[in-house]
Amino acid sequence: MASLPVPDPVVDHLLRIRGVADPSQLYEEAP
Amino acid sequence: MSQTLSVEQRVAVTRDFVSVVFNGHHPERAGEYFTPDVVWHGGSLGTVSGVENMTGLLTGFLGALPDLRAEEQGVIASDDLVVMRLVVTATHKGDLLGIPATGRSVQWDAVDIYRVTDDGKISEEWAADDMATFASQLGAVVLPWAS
Repeated sequence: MASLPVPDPVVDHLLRIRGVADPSQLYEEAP
Repeated sequence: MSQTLSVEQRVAVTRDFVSVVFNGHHPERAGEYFTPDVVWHGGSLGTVSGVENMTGLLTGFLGALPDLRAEEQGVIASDDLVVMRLVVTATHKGDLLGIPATGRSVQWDAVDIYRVTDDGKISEEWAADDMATFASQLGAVVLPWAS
């Protein structure tokens, strides 16, 4: 799964609905 | 006990929903308008089921677009379905759909189809929002034909 550029409540919500327990692991680390 | 609503009453339900939840910025009141098992078809955003999931989704959107306004352009209704054409304007104040907050104004077209039950609740919605325009105006994608 592609990494995400910024934390985002809507993306988090959609991912959790689809069974991703911890969406924060998908975010890119801040430079 | 449920009773059969007129088409006009079903239209009124959807107008009240848009007025209170979107234009009134009260996503926490979405549950007043949805059935518990509401199903929302969001195109590229996928399908979301259940009133709690819908309330969470709307809370996220309105949190990132806190001055959102959906202006009705027209309505067509038949049986238990209401089709509403909207122009939506907002300021992009929070990170949304992977796009960092820009502070830019955005405007896009939407066509929403609502199924309204005899109890006056929305049980299903098809939300057709022009997400390409939305992403383009926020600089997330380039549409060569759009200025």
